[in-house]
Amino acid sequence: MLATEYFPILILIVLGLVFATVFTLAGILLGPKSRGKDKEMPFESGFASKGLVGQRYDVKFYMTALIFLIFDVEIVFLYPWAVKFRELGWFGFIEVCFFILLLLVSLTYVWKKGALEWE
Amino acid sequence: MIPTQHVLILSAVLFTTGVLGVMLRRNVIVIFMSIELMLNAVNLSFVAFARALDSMTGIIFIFFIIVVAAAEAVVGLSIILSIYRNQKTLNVDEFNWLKW
Amino acid sequence: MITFATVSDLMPIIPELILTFVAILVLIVDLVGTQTKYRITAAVLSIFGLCIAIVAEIQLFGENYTGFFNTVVADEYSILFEIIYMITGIITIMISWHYIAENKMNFREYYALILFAIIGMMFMTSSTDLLLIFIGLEIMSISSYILVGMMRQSVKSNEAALKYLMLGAFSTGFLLYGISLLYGATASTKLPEIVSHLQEHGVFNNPLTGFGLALLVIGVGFKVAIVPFHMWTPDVYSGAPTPVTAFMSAAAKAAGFAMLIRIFLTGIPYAERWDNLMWLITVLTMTVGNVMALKQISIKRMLAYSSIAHAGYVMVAVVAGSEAAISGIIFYSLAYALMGVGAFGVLSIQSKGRTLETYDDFTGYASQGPKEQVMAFLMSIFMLSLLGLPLTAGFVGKFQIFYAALDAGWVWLTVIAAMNSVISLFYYLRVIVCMYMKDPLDSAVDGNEQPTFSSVFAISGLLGTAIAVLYLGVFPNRFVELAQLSVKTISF
Repeated sequence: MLATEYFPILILIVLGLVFATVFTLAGILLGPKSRGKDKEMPFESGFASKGLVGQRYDVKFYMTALIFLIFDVEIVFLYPWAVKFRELGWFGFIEVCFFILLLLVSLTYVWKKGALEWE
Repeated sequence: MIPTQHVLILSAVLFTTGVLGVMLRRNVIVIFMSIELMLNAVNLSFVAFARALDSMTGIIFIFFIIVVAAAEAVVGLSIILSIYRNQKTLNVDEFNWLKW
Repeated sequence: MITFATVSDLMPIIPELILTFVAILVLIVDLVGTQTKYRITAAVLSIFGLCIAIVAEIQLFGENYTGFFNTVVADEYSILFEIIYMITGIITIMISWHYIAENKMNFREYYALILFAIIGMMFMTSSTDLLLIFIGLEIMSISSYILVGMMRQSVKSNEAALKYLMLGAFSTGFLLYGISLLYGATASTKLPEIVSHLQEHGVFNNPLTGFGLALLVIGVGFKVAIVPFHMWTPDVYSGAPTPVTAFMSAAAKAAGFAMLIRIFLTGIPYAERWDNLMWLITVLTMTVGNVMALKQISIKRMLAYSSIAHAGYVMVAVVAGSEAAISGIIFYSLAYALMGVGAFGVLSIQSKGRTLETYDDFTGYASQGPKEQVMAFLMSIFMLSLLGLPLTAGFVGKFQIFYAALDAGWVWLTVIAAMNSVISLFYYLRVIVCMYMKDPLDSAVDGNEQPTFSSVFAISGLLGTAIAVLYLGVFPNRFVELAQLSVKTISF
């Protein structure tokens, strides 16, 4: 039963493969190619990039973004707890507190390491 | 309601697109985006199965995939930054200290 | 009604908890300590933590605790493997300290990352839920990505890290897609439930399960570096800082095989064609590894290829799949962990300010001084053991695997494996010949080196490893029995 039901997936994987190959190849074959100084430049939200890449300002910005990314995603684990807050009761609360504690430790670590300093 | 099959098909197409992107593209950032695409295709198929089977396991799995993908991205971007500092390019063809 | 985990669920993961605590402590020590002081404290603290965790594992041995709704088990099988990782970790830390000092490497977070990687491996091994196995795998992988790129100023290390991360994440995609298809077909991510479902309905009657398992093989195959998923190994192994290479080739590989056994060899019913495919992969892995190792100039790269060949020998046992074969894998993992970490460890110790990497660097090595003599002797032991000479651990491991394969009726596979061992003779012996029977290329480098405390520390670690290799080769019985006992705990 299941075999017939899911068999189209196999076909479509093949189809997907063909489509993706065709389009990518078309892009490579037909598209104009430009390799040069401009192409290798980093994007800077519409501005022409100026100054050296190794500027301090850039790196600091980057660091903050990375740290934000990782802490931001951790929130995902709080949603299930929030939804089932009442059912989970004290057990859930303690678990979440422990989780937050670990996050706090890592935040302190980041802070003490000086990754949050702008200058 | 969208049938499960359709979602699975979309996820399969996205996954293969990601795989091909990793194999054909030459810019590190684009390769990285293709890998993220693969992981998100997997997420999609987990959602579809979880709904079809009426089970929570798949949903829980997705949470962890999201977090792991983010962790991988952070580490990857840091390595890329470090490479860019040393080499000033992000084209994998020019990384030839070790043969690909 | 929701059932909660209780405190007793923590019993099977006590070693993991101890290590996690120590790893965080190591990070915090970094914040308060000064540079040089921290280096010593962190290394000592990490080794101390690993020792405590080993003691905890030994206490758990035979108790068979399970926890968290049977997702974590502390059976003999996982305990044996976990002890292998931790021993490897201790040796790695012993050699790293010297390497870090010599190469002025960025050492912050280094020890903590090694501990985190070991924690990941432990969860990979002791879990029976694909979700937890995946998380363990990622904890291990992400830590090792960073470890590989630890030499930030070195272009090679950077590229190795990037390549490892790309291919690692790529393979994770396949692994996850396989898991999701299996979940779709069996409605569970728990291995016992998946296995019983497959036993009932067969693997290849449903394209989802067959395809899912194939994707899982790709994902796991990348991690243990079997051909054709081995491309990253030589580059990553030669680009990474040498102690990290030692650690990855020994512990990460053992963890990969522990995971492979747990997923694939605990009762999934296979068809004939599956066996044929695995047979082909095994032969390819051995042959490609050995032949490519022959033509390397760099010993570090040669060892990387030879580690692929060794993965091939282990795959022989995977194909055989019998209880004897699995206990052979466990013993071989321990043996290879020791030999691998030892061989790469010798490479990690500089001689008179030179990094040793190629055969040329090793030419006439044994005649260059007392320290070099000791190192050459140790290297010879590791090479002979990797070769599988009797009275070394490598021999016992190979013997068990080949014997189990013959017993299960895989005659040709065993013959090919034996032929491959003969090929490996050439490149392992070449190292020994280089060290003992040739004169040094440049006689300019001499003069006395003051032995530093860290180098003595590293060499004593390697000495212990060599003694363990010989001990396992001469008195293997107790360990073989332990391995056989532990196999009983995983067959469902």
